[in-house]
Amino acid sequence: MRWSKPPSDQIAWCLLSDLAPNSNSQRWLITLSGEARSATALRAGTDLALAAGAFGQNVTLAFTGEGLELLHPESGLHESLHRLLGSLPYYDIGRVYAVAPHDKAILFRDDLTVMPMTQQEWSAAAAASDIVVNY
Amino acid sequence: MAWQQIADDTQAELLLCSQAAEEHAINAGSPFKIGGLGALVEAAVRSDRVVSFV
Repeated sequence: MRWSKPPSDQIAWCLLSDLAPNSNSQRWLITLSGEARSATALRAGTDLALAAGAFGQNVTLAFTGEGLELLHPESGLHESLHRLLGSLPYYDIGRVYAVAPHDKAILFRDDLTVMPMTQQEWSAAAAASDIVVNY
Repeated sequence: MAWQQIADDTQAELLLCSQAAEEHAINAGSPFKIGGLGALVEAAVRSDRVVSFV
């Protein structure tokens, strides 16, 4: 078969198809609360968020309770997990959310875009999501 | 065995987390299969409901 250059409108179509939303893409809300004080649960939630992001899912990742420690500038008890979370932007998770009490001033790590989220906003996000998973 | 019964009655796939199976040195036999995070994401996307227990 002789290769021929496709017409320019075909090239444009190909590029647009690459940018089109994945038809299998669902809205996920994954919350890391670490209520069980378990690094295993925090790790499992992080792995799920990264996997979902890698598979083209629309992931909202929220931190609350013990999970907020992962957003501190210092890694604390979870050094490898803290480092792993730094890779979130490479999995199309460009921002994360901190569900924290208003009266609690928290200094966040600067390698992630951390946005505040109220409890009401979390509830609205949960209602708007297809898949809600809490760790 | 309860899980066997569920699998027989519903034809549901019973997937074991590969990392957990490795950590607990579990050899998955029928009706269980080993699955990774990709399988979990795919199952969640294809399902009507996702229920998790931590």
